[in-house]
Amino acid sequence: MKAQRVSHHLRVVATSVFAGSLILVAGTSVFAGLNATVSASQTDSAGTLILSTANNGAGFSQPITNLAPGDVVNRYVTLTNSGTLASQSLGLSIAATGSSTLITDGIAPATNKALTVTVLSCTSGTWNTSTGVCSGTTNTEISETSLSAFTSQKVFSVSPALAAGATSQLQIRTKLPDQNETTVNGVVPTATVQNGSATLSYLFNQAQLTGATSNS
Amino acid sequence: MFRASTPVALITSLLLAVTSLPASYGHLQSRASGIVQVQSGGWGTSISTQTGAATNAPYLLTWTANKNRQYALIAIVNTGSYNLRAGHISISSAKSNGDTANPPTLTFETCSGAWNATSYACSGSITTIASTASGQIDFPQNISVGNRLVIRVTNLRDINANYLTTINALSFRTDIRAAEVLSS
Repeated sequence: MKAQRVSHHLRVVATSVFAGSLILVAGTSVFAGLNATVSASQTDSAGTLILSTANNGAGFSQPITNLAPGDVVNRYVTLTNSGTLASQSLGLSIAATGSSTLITDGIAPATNKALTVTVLSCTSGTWNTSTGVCSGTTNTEISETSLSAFTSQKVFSVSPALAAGATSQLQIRTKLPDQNETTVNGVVPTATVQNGSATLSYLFNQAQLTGATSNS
Repeated sequence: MFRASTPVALITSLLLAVTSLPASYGHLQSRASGIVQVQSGGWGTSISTQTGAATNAPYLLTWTANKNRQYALIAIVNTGSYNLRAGHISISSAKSNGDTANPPTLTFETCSGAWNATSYACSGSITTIASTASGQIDFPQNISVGNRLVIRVTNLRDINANYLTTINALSFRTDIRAAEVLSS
């Protein structure tokens, strides 16, 4: 009895589907016949967000060597948003490994001052990588910050947004703060910044501009 | 049997899954990276004999009692990675029993040519840098990386005991070049 009811239901469903299909096909045919000359199509494609860096001069391609206290080394890179979407929250974080005295300021009695990084941008002009002069407007995107504070991203303060296809011309300023140390019989003091080495991994990040609703 | 409550459960599950996603989900992010190696240099000096290898230990000069005018040739060796604009030493003397009273006065001289290791004569002109029994002595002369400044130490006094003079080499930040701004 139960099996018969199930069979009956299946027949009803199958019949309904078949009938519905006929109606759809017929309807479509009629519709096509009546509107044969009218057609429309719409292609929807997702945008892209692509950030790339290119060395401007030495950029990231050459190491910085024999840095002395007070020295400043300027390197130049160009960021490009080569995607199709505009971006926001452009920023930089730096992961550093190596000599701890170059990465983190000393805690008393240690007096070592670690490396600092400053990021400047040049708008409406270009950087002269030999003289460090911007032919347009110089903007401080990230003020001088100790390397250890770059573990979290610092968002650019002046130009954090990049339109699709736009570039940001940056000067990356690496500095070993001036400081005194006395070497005795060739032995450097504890917590010295001398003869140190650090690997700085720069990571630029941009986020998609908040999605918008458009009516057209 | 297909129960009426089944679609409600499915829709509820779907809503829960969607609403539990983080707020940032669906926002694109893009990254670009670069790596730079940074190395710092160092400054330092050590004391050695006129031509000997530098060590990291204080240098010791032994003076013989009851002997007038004794000489020694020592060298300040640049062991760092920067050229130096000056060298510095500090000296102190004591008898073998530790008594520091009446230390000998020592004269420190440099030579524009070369010192003769046997006669202690200078092939050029001699410059007297200091005559002192203790303290810091500054030698305002350039010493390039790996090179040395040879100094004649003279003990003029007829001392009545064997003194041991300890010499330490000092090197300061101010001995190397000024800070630079480099763009490339």
